[in-house]
Amino acid sequence: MLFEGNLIYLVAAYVVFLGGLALYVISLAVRRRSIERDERALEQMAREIKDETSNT
Amino acid sequence: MIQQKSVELSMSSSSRASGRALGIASVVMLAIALFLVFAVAPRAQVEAGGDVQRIFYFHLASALIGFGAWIVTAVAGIRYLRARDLKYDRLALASAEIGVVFIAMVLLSGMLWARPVWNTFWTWDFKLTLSALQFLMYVAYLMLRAGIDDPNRRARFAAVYGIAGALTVPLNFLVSRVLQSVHPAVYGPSVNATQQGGFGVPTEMNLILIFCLATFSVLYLYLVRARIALQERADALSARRAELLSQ
Repeated sequence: MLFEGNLIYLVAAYVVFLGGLALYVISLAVRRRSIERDERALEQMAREIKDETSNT
Repeated sequence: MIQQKSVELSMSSSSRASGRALGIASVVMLAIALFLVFAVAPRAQVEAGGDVQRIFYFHLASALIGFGAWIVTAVAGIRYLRARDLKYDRLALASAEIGVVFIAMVLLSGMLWARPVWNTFWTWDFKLTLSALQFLMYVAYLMLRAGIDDPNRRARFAAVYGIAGALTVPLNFLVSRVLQSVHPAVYGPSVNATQQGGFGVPTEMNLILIFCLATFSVLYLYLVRARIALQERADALSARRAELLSQ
C-alpha cells in the first residue's frame, strides 16, 4: 500500500503535539523559577536598603 | 487586616486547587484522547493518508482552539481599552502566547501530514501561507510587547494589535471554502470538498474529534490560568522593583 511506510509521519506529528505542550509547560516552570529567584533577590535588596536607612 | 489576609489565603488556596484539578483533568483527557485516536478511530481511506489521517484529530482541535485563543486576545483587548484594567491585558497576553504554541503545532503537524498525501512538506497555497503569516504576526505581537516597558502603553498597543490581528482569523476559515486550495475542507460547503487528501467524516470520527476538542479546551484553560498567574507575579515584581529603585 502507498502509505504503509509512512507511519513515521504519524508518530512524528504526535511527538510534535506532546513535545510542544511539554516544552511550553517546562517554559512556564522555568520562568516561574526565575521570577521566584528575582523576588528573593529583591527582598534581600529591600532588607539591605532598610538596614542602611535605619543605620543612618 | 487579619481577616482580609485569611480571605486572600483561602482564595489563593482554592484557586491553586482548581488549577491543579484542571491540570489533572488535562493529563487524563489527553491520555484518553490518544487512546481514542490510536485504538478506536477507524482507519481512513488511502487518499487521506490511511493511518496518517489520525493526525486530523489533534490537528483540527489544536487549530480551532489556537485560533479561538487569538479571538480571546482581541476580546480581552477590547475589554482593556474600555476598562483600562491590566487584568484584561494579562489575559490577552496569555491567550496570544498559547495561540502561538497551538498554531505552531498545527503548522508542523500539517507539514508532516502533507508529506505522504501531497508528496511535499509545504506548498505556497493561500491557506497555508495565510496560516504561516498569522503565526508570524502573533510572534511579532509577543515581540512588540517585550519591547515596551510602560505597562499601560504596552497594553494599549497590544490591544489594538490583537484586535487587528483577530480580523484575519475568519479569513483563514473562508479561504479553503471559497478559493481553490490544496487544503481540503472536510466540514461545511466548499469548492475544495473533494480535494486530494479530503475524506468523509463518519459519526465515530466526529465523536472522537469532539472529545479532542474538549481536551484542548481544558488544556487551554489550564495553560491560560498558569500563564496569567505567572504574569501577575512578574508584574508585581516589576512594580516592587520600580518602588525600590525610586527610594
